[in-house]
Amino acid sequence: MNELKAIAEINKEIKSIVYAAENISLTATNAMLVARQAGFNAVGFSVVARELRMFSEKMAMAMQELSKLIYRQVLVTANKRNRLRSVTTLTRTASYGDLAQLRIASASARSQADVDEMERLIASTLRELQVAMKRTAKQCATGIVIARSAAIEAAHGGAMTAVLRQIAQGVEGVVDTIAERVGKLEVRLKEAGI
Amino acid sequence: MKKATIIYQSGQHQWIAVARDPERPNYLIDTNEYLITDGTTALLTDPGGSEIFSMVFAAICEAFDPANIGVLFASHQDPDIISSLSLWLDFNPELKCHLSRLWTTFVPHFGGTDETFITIPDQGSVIAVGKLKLRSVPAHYLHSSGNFHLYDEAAKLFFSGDIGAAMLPEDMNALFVKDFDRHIRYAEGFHRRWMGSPEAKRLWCERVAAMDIDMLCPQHGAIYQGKDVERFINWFSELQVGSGLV
Repeated sequence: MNELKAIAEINKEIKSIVYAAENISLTATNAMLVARQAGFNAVGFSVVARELRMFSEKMAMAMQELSKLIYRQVLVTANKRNRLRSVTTLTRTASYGDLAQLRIASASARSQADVDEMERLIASTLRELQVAMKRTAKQCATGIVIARSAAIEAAHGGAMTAVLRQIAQGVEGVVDTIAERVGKLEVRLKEAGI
Repeated sequence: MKKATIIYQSGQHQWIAVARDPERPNYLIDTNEYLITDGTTALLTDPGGSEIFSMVFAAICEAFDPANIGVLFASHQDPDIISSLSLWLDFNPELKCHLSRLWTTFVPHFGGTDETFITIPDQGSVIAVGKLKLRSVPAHYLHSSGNFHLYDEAAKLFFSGDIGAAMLPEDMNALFVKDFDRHIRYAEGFHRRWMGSPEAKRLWCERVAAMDIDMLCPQHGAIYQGKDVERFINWFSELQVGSGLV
């Protein structure tokens, strides 16, 4: 798969995580409302639901940051492909005799320097992506803990226990999905070498 | 490889035709580039598509030092005319390109910045190449809506862009038209379909008929010289174009 196709796939992955994070935010808001109905018994659940909403916001922000980095990577990668094409054409041109070689040499060198600079940019964005991914993976681990806490707190929900348990199960499922997708995203980024 | 042929010379003033590439793949239309020189400075007309940059550059090297090309002239905006622009600018970032005002925000998609382009107003302009004064001649709607040809009064040579173009078979690869009647059959379909306005055609024919022209040099096909120039203008003037029907 070429670099640009790989980036398009990664973008798709990011969008699916953003979508899942938005789902959590809705579920968390719903959980807070249900917890309020449950009254004093569900105070713990209410705190966890607030944490969940913060988690979903953090995830959305993390994905926004990743999207920006990926966008920058797409731009530079596309430009690099374009410049590489020039380098190839100029190298071919230089092979047509002494004058062609002499005249095209500096253009070739400039284009190659552009490509080298773009490769440096790609490498530096890659490092930023790796740092952002590590941060996101940590956030996910926190998210899993919060989701488990929701399940525990649901047990103290009195008459609303069944409803809270159902919500907690839903949240756990979505957080697990997010963690799984973030894992996949890490693998895809490694595979693509971007 | 393309071949560079001097088709006009008077002292340091030359026209060099870069044409006919037998190695060109069939899916690319063949193009003619003309280098108009005055000593050590030159203008290149319709430098061509990016796919043929190497061939054009190499052919020019056989006849002229490309480092002395200071100006490009783009008759219009098509890719076979000017998509090699970014490569020419890689070679010489200082190059200037004369172009219809209509296309100065379109052609930068091929390369260049606002520093690159010298806008030609609709009525045309005078382009200096060394001591030469070349005249860009309006040919709008033939076929592009912002279209120019180039007249060199001193040489009596006229670069006619797509007008006069012919899609010739392989056995008719001479640089000049040899048999007008046979040649023009390969020009007819192209002119009927590509030239969009009978009124623009009439005005162009009147304008060009009033000029003193020894050679009419199109961007595709063979060059018309001597009596064939007038023959072509008369033929074109009679041709039905721009019906809007396919």
